[in-house]
Amino acid sequence: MTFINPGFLWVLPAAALPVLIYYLMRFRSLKVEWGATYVLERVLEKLKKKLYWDQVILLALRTLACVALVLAFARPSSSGAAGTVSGSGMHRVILVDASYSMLAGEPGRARWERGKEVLKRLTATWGRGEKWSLARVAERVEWLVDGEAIEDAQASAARIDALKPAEARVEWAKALESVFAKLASEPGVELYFCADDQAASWARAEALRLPPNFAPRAYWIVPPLEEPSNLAVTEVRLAGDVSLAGHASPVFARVQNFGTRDVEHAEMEWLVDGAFAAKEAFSLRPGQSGWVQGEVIFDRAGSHYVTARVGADALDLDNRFSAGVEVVEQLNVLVLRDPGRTRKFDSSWDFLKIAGQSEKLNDKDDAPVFTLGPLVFSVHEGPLDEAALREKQVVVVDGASGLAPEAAARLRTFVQAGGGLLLSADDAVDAQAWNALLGDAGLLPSPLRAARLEQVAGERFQTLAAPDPERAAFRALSSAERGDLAEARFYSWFELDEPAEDARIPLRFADGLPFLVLERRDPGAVVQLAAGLNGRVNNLPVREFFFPFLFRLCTEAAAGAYSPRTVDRAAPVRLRLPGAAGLRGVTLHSEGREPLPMTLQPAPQGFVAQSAGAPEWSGLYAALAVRETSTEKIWIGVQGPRADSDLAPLGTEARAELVQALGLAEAPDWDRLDELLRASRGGAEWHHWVVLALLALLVGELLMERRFL
Amino acid sequence: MAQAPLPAYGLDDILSARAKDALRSLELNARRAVEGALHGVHRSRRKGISTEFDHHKQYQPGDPLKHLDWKVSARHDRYFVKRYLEDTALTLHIVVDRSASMRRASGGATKFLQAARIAAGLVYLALRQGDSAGLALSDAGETVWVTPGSTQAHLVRVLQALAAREAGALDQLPVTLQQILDRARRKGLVALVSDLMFDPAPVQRALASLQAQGHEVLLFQLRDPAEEDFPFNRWVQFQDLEDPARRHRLDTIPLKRLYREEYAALQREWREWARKYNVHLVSSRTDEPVETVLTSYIRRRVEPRGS
Repeated sequence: MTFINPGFLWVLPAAALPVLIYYLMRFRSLKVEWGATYVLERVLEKLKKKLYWDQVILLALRTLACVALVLAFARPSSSGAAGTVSGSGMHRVILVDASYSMLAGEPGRARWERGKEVLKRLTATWGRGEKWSLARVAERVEWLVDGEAIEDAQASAARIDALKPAEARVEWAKALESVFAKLASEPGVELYFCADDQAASWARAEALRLPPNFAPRAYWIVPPLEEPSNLAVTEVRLAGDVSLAGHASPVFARVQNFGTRDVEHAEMEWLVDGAFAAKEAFSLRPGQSGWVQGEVIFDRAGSHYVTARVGADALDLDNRFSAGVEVVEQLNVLVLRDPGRTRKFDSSWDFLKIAGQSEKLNDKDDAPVFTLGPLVFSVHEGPLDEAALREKQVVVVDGASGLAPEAAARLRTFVQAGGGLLLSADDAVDAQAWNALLGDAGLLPSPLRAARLEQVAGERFQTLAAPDPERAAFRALSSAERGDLAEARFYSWFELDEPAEDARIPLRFADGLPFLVLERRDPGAVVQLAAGLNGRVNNLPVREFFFPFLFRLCTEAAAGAYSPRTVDRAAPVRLRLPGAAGLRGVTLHSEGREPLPMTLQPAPQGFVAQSAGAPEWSGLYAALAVRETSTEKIWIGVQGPRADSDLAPLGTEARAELVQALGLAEAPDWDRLDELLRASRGGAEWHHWVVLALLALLVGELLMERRFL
Repeated sequence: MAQAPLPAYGLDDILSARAKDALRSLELNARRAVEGALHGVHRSRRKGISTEFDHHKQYQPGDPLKHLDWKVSARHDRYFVKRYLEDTALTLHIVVDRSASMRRASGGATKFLQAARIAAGLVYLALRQGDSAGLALSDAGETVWVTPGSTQAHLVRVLQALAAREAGALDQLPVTLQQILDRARRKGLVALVSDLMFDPAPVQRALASLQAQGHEVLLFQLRDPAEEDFPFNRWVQFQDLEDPARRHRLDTIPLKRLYREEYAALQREWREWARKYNVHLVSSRTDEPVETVLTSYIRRRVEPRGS
């Protein structure tokens, strides 16, 4: 026989309490002078022996009752079954899968809630003082309760209630290695897994080998999931961080079918600032992912956000993503015209002037100003001065043969202040001078290597490769409606070196050489083209995509003035706030979560606000910048990888292997778990017999006492 | 000269004015014929001068001729004389148990004080109707006697004897009763006032002898409330009042019911004995007023049997 709570056996000497009380009462007896001793002695003469035995029996009954009571708490059990019985000496360990896939299921009845409910009922059956641990398993194992004694059921339930899921995935094989290493030296362990049956999470766990002499009884609380369909929006991108008000802006969402059945004619809804804007239909096969493209229009300037949303399914959490965007009414673009280019079609600006509406807006400088949609162009010739750059967002260097080093230095200052520079190297550019002038000024992302020239309108020309599908900026320009960049023909171009790592190449020539290099600085941006924008040595100005392409180039250059509005979840949110006047503080808000404070650091022409850490969850955030007279709200879309969206369950064989390897007993709900626990303890514990004996002894005592009444 | 010990009680404690008022209108009549030296209100066994005819007796020389019943003599052709009962005064012998067990008090008065009050009440009644009353205080070694008397001064002597000392001796009742038997040649009323907490047999034998000698025997039993109810629920060390060396340390809870049964059995034993010997047994608790006890008993005594 062994005891489940052997600690209680220390109380066994207390069973002598009735004997002690007996003698104490005797010792403290009341002294009475008695006149009826004759009667008393007549009674004693008849009953003395009987009274003596009554006392002995009563004392024995009381002592045995105390012994039985202590034994009841000590919970005796048969030796062979002690290892399987829950109780003291057994260390009960709960491992909770806190990955977000546990949120799958109906709202309020998700696996997460159902699993925690089962755990609370389980801990309520455990006795006070028994040893337990609670680990939250996400990217790593976090021990929230580490071998503590149970205080009471409410306290345990509170610890379980306090568990929060995480936007992370679990790798059980890795997690269990650390769990087994920690628990291997424990003599008796009971493991309770509260986890889903994701094949991705349990991968390779069946190959785990338990440490020697470590054979825990393990239960797997795995609430079932009925809904098999599971779409996830894995990424949402706008063409750029800056869009133009009143103009259609392409938006892209990547969606993946993590479910086990085909999805046909599913709808992707686009919402602008939370209001429905558009929708697109799509179909996906299980496991397939794809981009869904839409188009939205922002009606006014300012900070906005776009949300891509698919319909409810097994896991609602991953059905939407948001992206932030800064919308501007217009862009002021300064074109540095090379005065040496006088021939027809030497420059694209002549063509633009025709396409746009020329207006004499600046009589003083006699500089031509013309608008092309939201772009307001000013053409500048001659030495570059401060006044020419005032209130300009983008400067286009068309050729730059006539640029002086002073002008290059001024342009560098312009970029450092957040301006955008668009460099267009046409056939008239002297590569060496260009590299020297702009390279020395630190404005050249990629030096020009060699000039390539073919016969204009001849058979030989260079073309563009299809835009990188992973980069949204120019992906829209590959359709019949908007024009296809693949139709561009270049008779003159430069070979560019591969740029530094912080520069991107959204467009390449068909032979793989860079065509467009984009370098975002903080602040400022430089966009470099390996060819000119003029129509003499290429056909760009006469293709449908030219104006959207030009708009895109300008917005990409102008975006350098703004911090990215769509960021990755892994890094802290960083936001540049121009204008130092009256800024009191910035906080980062997200619906249903505590605001994150952002620290402010002075920066040229403003402040940089940064969150203390990376956001815990993906989603839409709003940075509230409180100023003296106003509050500015900047929408930021935080997007993390959908690492745990794949709910595909373990296959039958893999599941069987896992169950066997870990000795798991599966329980989809409390009833089944309770049944399993009862079955494992049935007949092993003698608890009931001890309690029965205790009751019998108490009844015996009562009957004895009753005789005296 | 040795100073006399102070009395244990005042005389008013023993016979209060209230008791006197209650007893003033009562008469203690003898239930049996008694013999007395004085002319009184009670029938006597002796034949003498009275108007109450008793029986006829054959004439013998020396009998007064005036008592010849001529009618009966003529009928039987022999001489018969009439005999008459003589009215005589009652002699009351009161025996009070002064053993140490009488010192027990739980209802206010000790058993001995209550016994003294009953004895005083009886003496008061007897003297008021011209009877004589004596007192025997059963004490250790020797019995304190107050010879029968019928004057008011005698009442004071009785009261002084009762008040002289608290109970505190060994039980000597059989001896005292035997002494009564030896001393009281004339038939009278012997009243024993005691708690009867002793072996009944010797006392019952002595009382039976007195009854056989023609005395009317009257038993006053005093019950202490605690001794009767046994109101204990814990361990108690009982120390005998008569012999302090006799001690019993007992758990009273299992004992209670058995004790009460035994106490009742002793009461029953006395009642059955009294019924058998036609002896009045007046049992009262020490917390009952004496006048109530005596009044109710004397009223019951004059009622016809069976009423």
